[in-house]
Amino acid sequence: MTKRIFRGMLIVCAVVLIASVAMIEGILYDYFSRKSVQELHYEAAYIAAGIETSGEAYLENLTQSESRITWIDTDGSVLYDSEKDAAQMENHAQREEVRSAFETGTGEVTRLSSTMAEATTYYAIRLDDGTVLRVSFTSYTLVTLILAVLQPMIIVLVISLILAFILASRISKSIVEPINRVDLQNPEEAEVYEEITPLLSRIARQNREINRQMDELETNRREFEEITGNMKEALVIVDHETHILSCNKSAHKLFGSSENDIGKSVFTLSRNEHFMQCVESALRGENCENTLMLGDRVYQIIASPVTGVQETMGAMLLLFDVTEQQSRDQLRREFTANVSHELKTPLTSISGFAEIISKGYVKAEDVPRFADNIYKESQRLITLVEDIIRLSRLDENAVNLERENIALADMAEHVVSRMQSTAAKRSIEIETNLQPAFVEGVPQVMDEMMFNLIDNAIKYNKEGGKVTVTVDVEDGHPVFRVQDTGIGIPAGEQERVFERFYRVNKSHSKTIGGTGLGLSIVKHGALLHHARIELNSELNVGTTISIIF
Amino acid sequence: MRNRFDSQLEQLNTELIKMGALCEEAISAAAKAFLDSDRTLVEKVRRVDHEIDQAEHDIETLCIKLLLRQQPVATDLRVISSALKMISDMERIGDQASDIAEITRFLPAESSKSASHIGDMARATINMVTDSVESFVKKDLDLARQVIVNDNKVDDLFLQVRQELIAGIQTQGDKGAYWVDLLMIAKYMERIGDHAVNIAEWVEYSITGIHKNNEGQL
Repeated sequence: MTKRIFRGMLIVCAVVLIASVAMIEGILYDYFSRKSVQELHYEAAYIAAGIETSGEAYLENLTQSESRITWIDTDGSVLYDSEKDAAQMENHAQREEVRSAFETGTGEVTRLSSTMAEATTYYAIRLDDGTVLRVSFTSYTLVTLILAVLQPMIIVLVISLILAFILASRISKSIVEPINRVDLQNPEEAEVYEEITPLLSRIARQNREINRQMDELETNRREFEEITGNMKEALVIVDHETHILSCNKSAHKLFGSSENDIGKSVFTLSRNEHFMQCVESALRGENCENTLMLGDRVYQIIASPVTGVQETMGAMLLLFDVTEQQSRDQLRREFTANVSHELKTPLTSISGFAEIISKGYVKAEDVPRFADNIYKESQRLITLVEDIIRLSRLDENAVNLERENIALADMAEHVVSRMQSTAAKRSIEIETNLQPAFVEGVPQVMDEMMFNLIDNAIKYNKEGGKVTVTVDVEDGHPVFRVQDTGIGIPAGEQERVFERFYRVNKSHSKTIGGTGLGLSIVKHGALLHHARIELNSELNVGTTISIIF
Repeated sequence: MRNRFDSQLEQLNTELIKMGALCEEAISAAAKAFLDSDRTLVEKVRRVDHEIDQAEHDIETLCIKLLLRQQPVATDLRVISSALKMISDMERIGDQASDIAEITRFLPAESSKSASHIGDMARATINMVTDSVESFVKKDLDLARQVIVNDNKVDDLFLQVRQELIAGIQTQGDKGAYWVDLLMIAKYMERIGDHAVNIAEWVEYSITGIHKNNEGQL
């Protein structure tokens, strides 16, 4: 811009300079040549008057005139010439100015010299005696004049142009400088020419718009990253050439990759057959689900295509850990199998006894014994079904969850009194150490928990053993504890005793009774009360189970 | 033009990863077919081997196209030429996996495989193939060198297995064909190990520019 302004100014200067010089030259030339012609006229008139009064003698005395003076006789012969010998000169009668003077009294003609460098103006006047006086002067022509002044003119021009150059450069800079100084971040604050104010305000508006959009994009990006970053599931987004576009933290953790892997092929993450298949079918535009084994974990892959206007632009892969879900499924399958088995055993006995009786194979005196067996088995069945119902109620939180303040000591005493007879059968002594402790809880569930724990302590005790039931407050937490002197639980199985139908000694289940669901009920009850279960057990010494609320 | 070249190189890389994955699949399936006497896998190995052949052809075409049209130099040239070498090793791995699967079809299901070290050998071979592909994918020089070292283990195992098989032939001469088949499987595995080493060496070459056989010449 500076350059352009500068160039413009320089050109204007040069054109104006040259034009004005040329015009002045023309005007001056015109003025001076007219002036000299006029002087010529005066001079001719003056000399004519002189001649008429003094005759030729006047001419002889006239030596100071710059002009050439010629006196021509009526026949055209030259009488006198101020520069040449009159006798030598040819007849001037046919000269245009002379002829015109003879005819009209005056005559004027300008003739260029042979070189065109000079122009001679002749002025002739007829005297009273019929002779003609001719005065002429020679001047330079315009071209000669221009050529003559060319050198000084060029010097003047050059000096002016240099001046113009310096000024133009300064001025153009000073014009542009404020524009350059404009802070494009805050264009509206700049105080420059009002002509560009609309431009600046427009820039400012667009700046704001751009900033807003950038902020929005940044917020979106950060939101996306925040959301995907905190996702437990691994999320990988790939383009149609399998290059990774985005990979969240979980995915990096899962594949052991880093930010550096973004942009590489997704197959660098895993070359697992299922994984590759899923990616490829997603890129073909089909949804795909599969499982992926990585180490000892099982992941579910969900791959979905990202479709653009027409074709698939990429794919989105979602991976999540289904190891626990799979093991839960496994547990559920085992549970179903266990339930069926546990239910079937007593039913088989009942059906068997009943069949024998109905067929009449049993002696009359044996019938009560068989009936007793049937009764016992059905009781066992009922207990089992009740336990299952209780458990599933706990599972689904379907029990009446109205909580009330429970005095643990009172409840424990009540439960112990119910158990005394059972304990006595095996000559087991129940010792109680009941301190006042209160828990906000569901009485029905709490009762079941206590019952199951004490029942276990009796069942898995040795003949003549001891059961200690304690209610206390420890470290501010109410504690219910049952300690026995029984067979104990092997260290390796202590984790599993809370599983449904789990039995340490599977072969003794029938003699001891029980459903294998007791501790499971206790566990769920504790969960319901947000309580913690502590199990300490030593084989053949005894088991202590504490519920800490 | 340059961008197109880069994207084609990237495509070459992806194709190689896929082919490597196919090799891993082939050898794993062949070993499983052999060790677990799972004949359903034989068909799968054959299918994968076919895919490997197809992949070799595709990658070869791509490499030659790149060489002729882009006239690559320096690292790019090295990557492409080592890719060309690698795919022939991968293709051999596929063939040999297929051969193992083929032999497995005629082996009696009940056999004394567990007694011999052939199972260890299969596992070691699978690891070598996996590691060589992994070293290519991750451009992991250390892992590539590890593969080259691990080959000794497979070679030792092969000698051990050979001894066991010779002893087997001596004691149970009536089942001679069975032992010879096992020997062939062991030999194939040993060869697969060698191919894995070749792949690892080409990985090393494409990274460092130095190939084991031409040290100092390139």
